[in-house]
Amino acid sequence: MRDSVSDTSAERLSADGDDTARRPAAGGDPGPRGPAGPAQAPGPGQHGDPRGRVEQNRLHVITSRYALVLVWLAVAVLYYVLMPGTFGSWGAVRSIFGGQPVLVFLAMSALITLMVGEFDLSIAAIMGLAATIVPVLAGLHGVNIWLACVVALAACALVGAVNAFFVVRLDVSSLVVTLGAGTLVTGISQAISSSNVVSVQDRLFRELTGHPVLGMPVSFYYGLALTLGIAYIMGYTPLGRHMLFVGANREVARLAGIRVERIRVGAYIISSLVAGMAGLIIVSTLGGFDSGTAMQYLLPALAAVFLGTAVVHPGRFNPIGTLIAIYFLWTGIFGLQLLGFAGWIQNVFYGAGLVVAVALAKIVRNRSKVT
Amino acid sequence: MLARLQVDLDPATPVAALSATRRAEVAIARALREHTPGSGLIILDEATRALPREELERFHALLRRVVAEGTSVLMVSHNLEEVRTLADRVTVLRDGTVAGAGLPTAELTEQDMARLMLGRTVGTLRPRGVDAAGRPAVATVTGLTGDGLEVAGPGGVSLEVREGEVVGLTGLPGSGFEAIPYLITGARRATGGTLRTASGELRLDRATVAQCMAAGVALVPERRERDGLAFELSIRDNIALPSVRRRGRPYFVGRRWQDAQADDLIGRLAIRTRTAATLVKELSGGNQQKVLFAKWLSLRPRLLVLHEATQAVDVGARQDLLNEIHEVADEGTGVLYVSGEPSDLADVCDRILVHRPGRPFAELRDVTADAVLDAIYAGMTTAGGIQCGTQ
Repeated sequence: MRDSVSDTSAERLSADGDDTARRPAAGGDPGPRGPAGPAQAPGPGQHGDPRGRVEQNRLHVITSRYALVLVWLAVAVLYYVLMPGTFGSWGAVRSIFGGQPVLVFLAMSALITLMVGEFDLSIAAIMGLAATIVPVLAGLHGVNIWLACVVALAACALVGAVNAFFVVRLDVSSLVVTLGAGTLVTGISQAISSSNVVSVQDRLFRELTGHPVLGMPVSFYYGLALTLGIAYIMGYTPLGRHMLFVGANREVARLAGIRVERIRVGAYIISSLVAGMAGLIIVSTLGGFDSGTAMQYLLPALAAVFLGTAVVHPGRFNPIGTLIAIYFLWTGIFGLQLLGFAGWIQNVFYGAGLVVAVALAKIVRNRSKVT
Repeated sequence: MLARLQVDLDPATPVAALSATRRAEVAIARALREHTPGSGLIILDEATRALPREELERFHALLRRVVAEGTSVLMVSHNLEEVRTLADRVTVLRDGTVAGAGLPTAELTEQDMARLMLGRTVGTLRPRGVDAAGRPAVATVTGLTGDGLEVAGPGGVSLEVREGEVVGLTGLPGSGFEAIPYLITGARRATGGTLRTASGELRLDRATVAQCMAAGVALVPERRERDGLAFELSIRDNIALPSVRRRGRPYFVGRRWQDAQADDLIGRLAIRTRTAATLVKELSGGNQQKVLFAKWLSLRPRLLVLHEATQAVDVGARQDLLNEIHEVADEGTGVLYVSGEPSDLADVCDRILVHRPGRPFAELRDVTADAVLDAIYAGMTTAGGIQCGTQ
């Protein structure tokens, strides 16, 4: 088992995005934290405990690491039993996996900043900005649609750079900066669209995401590729290893010669670009966008990222876990909608999902300790 | 409350502005607030770890006053000397079992306690007897100045470490020698000075950590939780961190060398863990310190700078670490051992530089703990209130 229980302190981040909180509080506590001493040094395994217990432990670790997958399967089976006709159809499978490309991109966008220990609450608004610029330029002003896409992405990268300037250079709390920036950007989107629903018609642009490949819209594969790409970078490149340490302990990263600021700035800009791509996908699939609705995309994305910390690498933000969490949450909602529950179920499910996710990640992490 | 403990402090002072001793005193005052004088129990967990040596006496006196009032104190400590002088009775734990319970300290020596803790006798470090005078220097620092470092005139601090040599660096706590390890490794920006190694000369007022690492200089910082290791990540990930760029290709970092390297160093330093995938936070202090040491050892540095490398580790781990420092030096690495701990310096160093504010280093070649203490406090003519912690 490669790295059974490594983590980057997901739940600590959920409590505070600000780096002041990661330093040990300078209180009246002169003692060291954590245990020290020969008494606690070895795990029980050092004294030759029965092999069976180690095996049992291992099984235990695997089941807690993939518990969410099991729950997901159980939910799917339950829905199938309840509605064998509708839930069991290929159309339903396609809706579950192919219906959420926007959420996949937005969640990955949130993941990129969270992994390096930053919070970005403006990603939904940035997505909205891209989803507004494209139809406004291409639909209202007749600009070439591909040029419009480039302009939109450039604008997103600019917002990311501004966020990074305030957070990294000026050391302002990332929660405050990105919350403010998110509202500001939403305002700008409303201004350019005059608060109307803007739309654009372009067959090729629609095909870009909607074209079926092996029974799935092609955008499903974009999300999959993005997820696997991030997973590869994090696990197998020096950049990813460095990002991991920047997220885990900035000072340690700095003292290992890593250019911490550059990685943080880069994370903001790349994350904003990915959010912009989510915006392009919205326009491509829906044909238009209402700029006032951007913020409602934020919570599902965050819920998925945090729930993802309960899978694969418990306690660590990770792309595969996030993807699993997205499909898990969406399966639950989709099934309930088929059962006749109205649209409100989405808010209830995602809202509860976020809170349960953080609690669950913590429980799984504690349980999956090998010792 | 502060008055009752005879602590001379303005209660309105922010705790962050206090010295470590003062903070410890405030912590005790807080523990005593709800408590009737002359009763109860105070538990101290390594409360004196952060205290500089010369302030220990003050703190011990405070504890004795509390005890004299009738309160009991349970003290958890690695410092055997402190246990012996301060405690009445001691219980020693080893590997989760009680190795000796309620032993009266009056009848014990530190050796006895160490033996109980380790289940074996603590070996003494053999003196190396290395005289590196004729060898080439691995690193030369010239004209170093920086924040917090008190120096004489415009010249700054200069020092040289030769191949295979262990050089100690010490001084009065707070005199600024503690800044030197960070200033010469790029961890903190100096205001002036140069570092010359075999790969060239670096200006320390603009050198980065990466440049210093490339020049073969590695730093083992003092605060392992804050600066040294990512506690939430595994031993292997922590050890591999400094080499991922060097040993991995830009698009692929292999796993095999990481595992091999971690297993090798775990064996070499006798780190007690079941696998390299164990998280650092699950280890004991001594083993964490060994991981931190292993992390920088893996780079095979030309100059290894260590700051308080045996802080809050047990006697066994201390022994292992100091032995390993000798091994590293025997392989040709120059070691700069920065510490305020005279017995460590005496055990591990070939020569010791004593920083005295406003004057050049005093150099000791006769390295005994007493000689170190004498040299540290020799220059103090004005500071009347500070007592010398004696061996």
